[in-house]
Amino acid sequence: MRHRSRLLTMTLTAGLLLAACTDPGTDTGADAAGPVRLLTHDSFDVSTEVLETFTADTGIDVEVIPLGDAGSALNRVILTKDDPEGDVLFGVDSTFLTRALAEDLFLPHRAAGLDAVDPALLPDDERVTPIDFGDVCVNYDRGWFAEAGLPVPADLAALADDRYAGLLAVQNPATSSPGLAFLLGTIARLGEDAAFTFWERLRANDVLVTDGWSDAYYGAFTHASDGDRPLVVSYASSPPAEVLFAAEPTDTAPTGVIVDTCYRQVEYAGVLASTPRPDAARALLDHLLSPAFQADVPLTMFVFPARTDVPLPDVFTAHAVLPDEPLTLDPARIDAGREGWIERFTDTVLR
Amino acid sequence: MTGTRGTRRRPRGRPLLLAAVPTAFLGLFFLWPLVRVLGRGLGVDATPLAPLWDVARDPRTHEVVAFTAGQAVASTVLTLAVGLPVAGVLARYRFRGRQVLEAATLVPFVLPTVVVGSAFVALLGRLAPVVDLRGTTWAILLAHVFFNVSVVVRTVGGLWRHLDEAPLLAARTLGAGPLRAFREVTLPRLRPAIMAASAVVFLFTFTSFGVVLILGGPGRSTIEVEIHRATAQLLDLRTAAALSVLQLLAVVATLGLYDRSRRHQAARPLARTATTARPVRGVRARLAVGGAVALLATVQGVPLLALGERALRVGDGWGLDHFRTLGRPTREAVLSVVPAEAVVNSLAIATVATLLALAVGTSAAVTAVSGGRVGRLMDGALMLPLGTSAVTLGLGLLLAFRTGPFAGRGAVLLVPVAQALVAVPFVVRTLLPVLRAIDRRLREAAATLGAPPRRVWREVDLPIVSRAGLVAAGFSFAVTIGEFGATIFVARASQPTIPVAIHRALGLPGEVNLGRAMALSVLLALITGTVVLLIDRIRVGQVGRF
Amino acid sequence: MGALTVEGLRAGYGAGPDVLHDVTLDVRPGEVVALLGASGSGKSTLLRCVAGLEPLRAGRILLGGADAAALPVERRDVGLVFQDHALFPHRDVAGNVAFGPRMQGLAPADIDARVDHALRRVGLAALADRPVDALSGGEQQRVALARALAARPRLLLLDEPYGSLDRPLREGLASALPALVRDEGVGALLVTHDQQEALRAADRIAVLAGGTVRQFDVPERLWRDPADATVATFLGVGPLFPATVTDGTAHTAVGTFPVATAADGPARLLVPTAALHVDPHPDGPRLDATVVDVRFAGDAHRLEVRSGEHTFAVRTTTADALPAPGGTVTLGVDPRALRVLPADDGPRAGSQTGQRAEPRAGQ
Repeated sequence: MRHRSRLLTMTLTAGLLLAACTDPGTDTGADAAGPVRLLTHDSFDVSTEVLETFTADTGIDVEVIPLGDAGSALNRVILTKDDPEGDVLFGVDSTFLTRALAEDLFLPHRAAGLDAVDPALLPDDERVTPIDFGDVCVNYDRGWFAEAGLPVPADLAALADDRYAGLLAVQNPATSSPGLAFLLGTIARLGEDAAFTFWERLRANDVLVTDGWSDAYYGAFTHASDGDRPLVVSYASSPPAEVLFAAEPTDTAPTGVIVDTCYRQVEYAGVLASTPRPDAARALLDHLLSPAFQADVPLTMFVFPARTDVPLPDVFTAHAVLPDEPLTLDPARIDAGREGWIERFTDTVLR
Repeated sequence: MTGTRGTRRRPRGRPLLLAAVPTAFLGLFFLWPLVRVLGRGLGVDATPLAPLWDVARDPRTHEVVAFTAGQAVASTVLTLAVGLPVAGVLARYRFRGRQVLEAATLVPFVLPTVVVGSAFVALLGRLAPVVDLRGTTWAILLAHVFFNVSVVVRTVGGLWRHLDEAPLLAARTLGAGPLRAFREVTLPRLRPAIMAASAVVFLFTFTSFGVVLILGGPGRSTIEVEIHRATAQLLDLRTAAALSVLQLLAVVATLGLYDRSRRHQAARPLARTATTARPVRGVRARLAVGGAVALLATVQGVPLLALGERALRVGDGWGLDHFRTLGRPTREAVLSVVPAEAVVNSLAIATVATLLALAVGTSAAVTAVSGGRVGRLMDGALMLPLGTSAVTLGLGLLLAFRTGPFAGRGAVLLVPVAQALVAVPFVVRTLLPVLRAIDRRLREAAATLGAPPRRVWREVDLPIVSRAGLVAAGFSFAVTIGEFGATIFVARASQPTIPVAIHRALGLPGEVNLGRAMALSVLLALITGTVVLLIDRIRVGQVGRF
Repeated sequence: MGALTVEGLRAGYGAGPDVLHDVTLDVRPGEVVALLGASGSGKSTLLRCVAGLEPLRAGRILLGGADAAALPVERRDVGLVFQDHALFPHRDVAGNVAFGPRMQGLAPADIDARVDHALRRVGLAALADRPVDALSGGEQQRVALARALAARPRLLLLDEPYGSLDRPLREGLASALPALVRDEGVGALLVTHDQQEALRAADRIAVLAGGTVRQFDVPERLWRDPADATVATFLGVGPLFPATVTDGTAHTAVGTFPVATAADGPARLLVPTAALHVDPHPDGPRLDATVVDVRFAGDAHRLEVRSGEHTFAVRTTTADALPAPGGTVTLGVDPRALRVLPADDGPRAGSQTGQRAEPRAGQ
């Protein structure tokens, strides 16, 4: 018996040792020599050279660790707050800003280059730094509307018109970041109660609700799929993307944006409070606001840079719409209302 | 009076000592995390049961529970409808390739749920031009039938094969037609196995996570998926915890029914008894066998073919491109590591998890078989992790070990621990029947021949159990390498396992990601399939049946 | 010094009642003692007590003259042979037989020699490398015996060893046991419920009923002088008729018989079938019976007859004057073989007195 329990003990110990050895060394944030880890969402993208510049300047490697969609990424960081998987979080959008601040995830940091940021984007809190912004708007398929001889819906309210029945695809706000943004936009435009009356009418108008952005855009949108929806909730930067990635070079964007529906999202970054390497993390955050990184975001993530002093690519100036007065909601109001609104949406539209 | 002392010599201390291993493991890595989840979810309110009450009253909960139970019942019925005829044919007829076919039915059962999800994504995509089942409940039901058919075939077929045919023939000579005789004689005798198989299928589909997460959608989520959604997307731990409790209650109830049906099952001897299978002769026999083979091929083969086809399809042609991209980073694919690294991670983690599960499971099984109150308690306690939502487990581990030895570098240990928790019940269920079936007289014979108790264990129990141990190890490996629900929480983002990588890739747009998901699924399917086919070759007795 | 001595043994399972009360018997080296009893009589329990597999409630077990109380199973030097053989399924024939010598820590060469010797003794030397599940039932039984012998026990314990075998095989193996035991110099305690098997194999037989030994003696004495009605009935000695004895004569419903030494009073008269012969005009006492059936039995005819409430068989070699079924037949009785047994010897009788039933004196 003693023999047997010794065997078990040995097996257990061997197992644990083996497990420790399987660590290939990527999870070594505590080591000063290791890379600084950037936690972010799945849509994060940057040109390789831009990160290489950072490494060349500072001698610190960057490891990018995507954690799912924006909401999931933030939740993951909150759940692992005491034992973070990274040093910097990029991608907290205005929808979830209050939650991130309430959880006290970040160290205060005044990033170099903050002076060049559009003052309208600056929060009253030094713990988060705006990096980029973008608008979620209803996109339309120009070709489809021309062929159908139907005018493009003029504004948000028009989407509920009978003649646009069965044309719109949106995302479930419970599972999709642009879906939630669009829902918030309707509330910002119409007020809460009127917004859900509007959603009732959209439902009667046979609105299609998908789980995620790609299901709607690449699964239902007439321009990007064999689907039957010429109206889809997407980004204001989608038309330039269509031009950029068009199979044949084109001067006119095949899709357009209904400006009245645009809801603004700002993306923030912050240094995680429990990072073992606050200095490296601060340097990385500064880099996110550097001209090089800022100039890179339009064509990698299809958003607008927070800095006003970097040039926009031509395709953006030509085809992207930047609404003068986009819809916005106060982060505190979002935080108070978000779950209730999602529930109400589910009840109104999905049930 | 010179009464001898107890000559059985079962020292009291030993089962306790041995019980310490699984008790400590379950206590630390199962109960404590569970307490943390429940505490975080239910303890924040003034009245502890308020969240539970709120969730229980919520009409959305009713909808989720109704869907969960409804799809589980439908899945079980469909699985029986497919599985029973196949079980009958496999039990009654002897033909070339029957054993291979039988082993093959087991492969889908141990396929990781994400692989099943991928296979059906591929299949439904292929079918879409003809009949579009994407985003329907049918997608979920078909996937559930796909990987639970083997439960029915194995459990019911195992009993069916050993049924003495004489009573059936007696009924026929007494004037019952074939159908009547089946209904009056065979069916009642199969009932315990059918009940047990139904309970298992119901349990598996009731707690289905990966398949539903991938194939479901708005309005089509199980409690398990809702727990994940509440946690990962809404950060609503209160609801997550309340749903976990709800799920646990439902599962315990099902397990209770399962246990009752199992107890009615006649004990089967370890030795293979003669079968009543006969060669295939005559048109009806040929039709029956052909039909069964065709049914299995359709239900289980076609989705796998679709998966393979999708993994190899590149543009309009075929190639290994998707597999090649696994080794290098690409812009479109969002993962912090190249997928090949996930494969290495998975193999290493599953190996450690298997060793852990074997150590814990073996000591637990030996304790359970030693009888007494400790043994009985152990027997019951070991089924608990099986009944607990893997998602809850993962969440609990994450919450319970954010600091201390399992934080930071040590966090890498939590993944094999989480997977071992899921595998331990399988190890115990594999070893226990074999340990129980060892004839007491074998031990007595060894003792009278001069073997002291420890030697008896080494000379009799160990050699007989070691084959079952190999089987248990194989099952553990297959289970752990495919584990998803707990791993998705515990795995560090920088160290994804294959299932986690597949899920991430499936959730992202673009052909590269889809292709990678399919290629990884094929790899994972090949790994688990190989392990299972190896197991089947050394299968002893009723090992591997549930 | 005996191979085994059991004194005043009392045993039972768990908190249940005694299965055995006050059992006393002994086995000498080279001797086969059969423990004969119906199922449930406690004979397997006795065997397990001797092997050390069940605890005692009272009494003593001496192995080779030494008290075995402190000896665990593995140090008792007993070879236990089970009814279904209990061969180790994961070892071949030689591996099974080598188990005991291995446990004794013998050198490999000595183990081989022991295995070889034991397998030769049971005639299975050619099958040494076979897996055990490839053997027939009889072969498995012989492997089990060889396995027990190879450990050189001082006592063989055989628990219905032939129970699962066909009758011819059973008889052959049982007949071979005494010589084997004599040659190996071990004692053997053979549990069986079959009188024929006990007769073939045993030097002495202990009849066990109701948890106690009713009679323990050589077979001849058992059949000639059964201790009580239970023993006589179990051995199948002959019909028992309720009787009243007065002045050396037993009065029964089927006639009167001379019984010289019996005390007066109610009793039962045992008429051994061996003492009956078909004789229309017997010299001595006679018994009239109705013929139920007549069968040819090879060397003689076997008559199934009924007398009083008893049906029993009588052999006759007078083939020329066979009675027909339904007719009557007169049987001559050898008065020397008649025995008078107590009127009542229910199962409790032995246990209440706590005494071994003594064989009664003949006439």
